[in-house]
Amino acid sequence: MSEGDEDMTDFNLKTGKTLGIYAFSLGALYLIVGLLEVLGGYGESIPGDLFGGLALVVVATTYLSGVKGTLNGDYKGLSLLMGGLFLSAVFGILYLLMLGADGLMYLLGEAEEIPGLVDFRPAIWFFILSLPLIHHIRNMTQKTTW
Amino acid sequence: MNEFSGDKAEIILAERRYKAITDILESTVNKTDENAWTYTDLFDHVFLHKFLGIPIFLALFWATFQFTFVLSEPFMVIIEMIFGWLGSLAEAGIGNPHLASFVSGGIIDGLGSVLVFVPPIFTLFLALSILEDSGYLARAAFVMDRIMYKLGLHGRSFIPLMMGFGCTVPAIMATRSMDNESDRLITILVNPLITCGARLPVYVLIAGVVFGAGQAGTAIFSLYIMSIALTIIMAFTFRKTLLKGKPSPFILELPAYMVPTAKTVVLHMWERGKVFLKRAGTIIFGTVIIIWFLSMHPWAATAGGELVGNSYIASLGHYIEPLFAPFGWDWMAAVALVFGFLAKEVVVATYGILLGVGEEAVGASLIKLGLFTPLTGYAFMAFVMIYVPCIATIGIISKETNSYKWPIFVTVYLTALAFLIAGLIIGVGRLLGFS
Amino acid sequence: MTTIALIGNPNVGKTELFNRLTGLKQHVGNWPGVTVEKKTGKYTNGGEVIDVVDLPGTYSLTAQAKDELIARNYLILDRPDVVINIVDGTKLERNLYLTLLLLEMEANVVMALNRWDLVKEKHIEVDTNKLSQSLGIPIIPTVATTGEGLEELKKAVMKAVQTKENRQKNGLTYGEDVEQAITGIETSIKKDWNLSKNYPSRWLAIKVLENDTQALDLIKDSPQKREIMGARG
Repeated sequence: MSEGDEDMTDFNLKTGKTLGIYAFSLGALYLIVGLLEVLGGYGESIPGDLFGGLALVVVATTYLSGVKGTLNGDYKGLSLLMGGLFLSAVFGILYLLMLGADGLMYLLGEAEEIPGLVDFRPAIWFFILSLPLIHHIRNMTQKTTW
Repeated sequence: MNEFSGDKAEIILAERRYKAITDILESTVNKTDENAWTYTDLFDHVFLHKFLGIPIFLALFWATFQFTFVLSEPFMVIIEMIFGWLGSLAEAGIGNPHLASFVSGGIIDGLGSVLVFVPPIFTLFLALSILEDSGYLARAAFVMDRIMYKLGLHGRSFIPLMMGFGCTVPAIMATRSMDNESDRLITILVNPLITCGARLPVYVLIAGVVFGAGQAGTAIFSLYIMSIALTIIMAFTFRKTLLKGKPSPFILELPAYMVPTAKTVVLHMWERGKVFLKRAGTIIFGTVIIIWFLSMHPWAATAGGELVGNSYIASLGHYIEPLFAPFGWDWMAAVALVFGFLAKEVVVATYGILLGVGEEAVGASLIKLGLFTPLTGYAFMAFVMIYVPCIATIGIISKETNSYKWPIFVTVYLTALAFLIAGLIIGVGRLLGFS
Repeated sequence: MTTIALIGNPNVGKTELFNRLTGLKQHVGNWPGVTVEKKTGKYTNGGEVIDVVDLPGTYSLTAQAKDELIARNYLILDRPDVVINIVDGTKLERNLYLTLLLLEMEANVVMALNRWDLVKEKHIEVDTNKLSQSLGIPIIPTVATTGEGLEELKKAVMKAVQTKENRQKNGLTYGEDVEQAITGIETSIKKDWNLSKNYPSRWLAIKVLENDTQALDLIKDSPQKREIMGARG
C-alpha cells in the first residue's frame, strides 16, 4: 500500500518489538500443542485429534508468519497477527462452547461426569492469553475505519 | 480516420473515458488518507493470503462443523426426550390400535425423527449466515476461485454453489445471474453434488452412530470436503467433454468487512431454516404417512406393527436388497434410499418408523442392531450425498434448462457416481482391513 | 406519468435506495423474454406519482452481457424522464465509468452520491459543486441506509423532470482524432431519418465505431448502411 518509504514504518518499532515477541510465543505454543494433537495427544488436557491439531497448526503458522513484519513495524505483518487473533478467538470460543455442551449433556444424564478444569482444551487458555494482544492492537488502530 | 476501426476503437474510447475520469477526480476529490490501511485491507491481507488463504478457509470450515455438531447434540437429546414421552403418551392413551400406531409409530416416530435435526440444521445455517454477513464468504469465493478457474469453473458459480449447502433449489435458481450459458449449465449440473441441508440429518444420525460424538463432526466435515471435491472434479469433466471452452473472466466485488448484527444473522438463519420446516410439514409428512402404512400392513402379519419384517415395506426392501448387499446394507437401508428420492430427510424418517418401536431413540436402536459399521456407514452417507437429487431439484432443473433431457441426465449420472464412490469406499476399506 | 430509472454498479446501495424511495409499494417481475428480475415501484412527491424502475446493477453497458443489454435497451428505447445514477462515493473512480456512458446516451441523469457517511469517515474530500459542473449533472450526497439526502434527491429529480428538454447534452469529447471519426459516422446516420428518430445519433455513431454488436445490428437494414460503414473504415 505505501511504496518506497522504507524508513517510515507503519507503526513504531518499539511496539512492533513487543507485539512481535508476544506473537512468536503464542505461535510457538499453538505449534507445539497442535503437533502433539496430530501425533496422538499428551496427558489429559491434550487429546489426540488430527483435524483439531491441524487447525491449531494453521493458527500457529498465521502468527509466526506475521512476526517478521511486525518486528519491522509493517502493517502486512500486523495484519497476519490480527488474523491469528481472530482464529484464536474462533477456536477458543468454539472449545468453550463445546465444554458447555458437555456440561449440558451431563445435566441431561447422557454423560458420566461434569467437565472439569482439566477438560479445558489448550485453545481456550491460548485464547485468554491472546486477549492482551487484542487489547493492545485495538488501541493502536483506534483511527482505523472498516 | 481509419485507424479507429473495430476493437482498437473500443479500447481507445475506454482509455479516453478513464483518463477523463482521472482528470475530473484530480480536481474535485482529495483523499487525505489514501494510503491508510482499513480493517478490511488488514484482514484481506491475511484471508486472501497466497499461502495461508486456503488453510485458514479449511480451518474455519472445520470449526463450523464442530460447532454445529457438538453444540446441537444436547438440544437434539432434549427433543428426542420430548418425542419419546409424547410417543408413549400416545400409545398408552389412544384406544384404537390403528390410530395409536399411526400417531405414535407414524407421526411421532417418522416426523419426530426428522424434527430432531432442527438444532444442527439451524446451527449450521446460523454459522453460514455469520460467515456471509461478515463478508468473509466473498473472500472464500475469491480464494477458491484461484483453483476453480483452473478447473473450468466460473468464479460467479461460487455463490450459487455455496447456496447449495442450504438447499439446491434456490441455488439452481441463483444461476440466473450467470451470463455464459455453458458456465451456467455446468453449475446447474454439478449443484446437486453440493451436499444440501436435507442430507444433514442423515449424516448426523449415521455418523453419530458409527463414529461417536467425538469423531462425528470430523466425519461430517470430511463428507463436505468430498462433496466439494466431487463438484470440482465433475465440473472439470463436463468442461472438458460436454461443454468445451474456457470460463469467461470474472470480476469479483469484495464488500467491506463488518461485524454482523445479531438481528440480520438470525433473520438469514431463519429464512433458510424455515424452508426445512416447511418441507417437514409437507413432503416429509406425506411420505411418512405412506411409509407408515406400508410398514404396518398387512396388519395381522405384522401384529399391529411389531413385526416390521413381515410388512409390505419389508417385501419391497427384500426385493431391492440384492442391489445394495455388496455394500453391506440391508433391506431397511434399501427402502430408506428408495423413499429418499422424494426428500433426503425421509431416509431418516424411514428408519424412525421402521425402528421406532419402543422408547429408544433411532440412533440407539441403530447401534444396538449393529446395522452399520463405520465403513458401511460412511459409504452409506456418501451414497446418500451423491445419489439422485430430490424431486424438487429435478423439477427446478427441468424448469431452468427448459428440457427433460438434462434432469434425466443428472439423475442417471448422479446415481452411477454414487454407486461408484460407495463401491470405492467399501473396496478400499476392505483392503485396509475394515469390515 | 413520470418514470425514473435507478442504475448503478453492484453493491453501491441501490437496493436500499430503491426501498427507501418506494417503501412497500414494490412489484417484482421479470424482464420480458429473460430470467432477469425486474423491480418496479412508486412514490409520490409534490402531488405527483413517480414510477421507479430498478435496473440491474452493472459496471458497464455493453451488448455482451444479458443484464447490461436490458439496462441499455430500457434507457434507449423507453427513455425514462430521469435516471438516478447511484454512485458509491468511496469508489468514484470505478463508478464514474457508468456515469459517462449514461451521459453518452443523453440520459437525463441525477447522481445520488451514496455512502456519504463512509466518505466522511474516510476523510475523503469531495467538492460536489465542482464535480457537478464537470459532469454537467446535479449531485446529491445520500446515505441510503439512514435516508439522509433523500428529500434533496427527490427535489433534484423533480427539477430534472421539469428542465428535461432544455438541459445541456453533455458527454465527453474524445479528442480531435476520435471526434472526427465520430462526426463522420454521425453525419451518415443523420441521413437515415428512421435511425436518427429512434436513437441519439452521436451515441449510435460511437457504438458503431466500437463495433458494438447491437449497433451493427440496428444499422444493417439502413439505406445508409454502406455510407455509415464507409465512414467507419
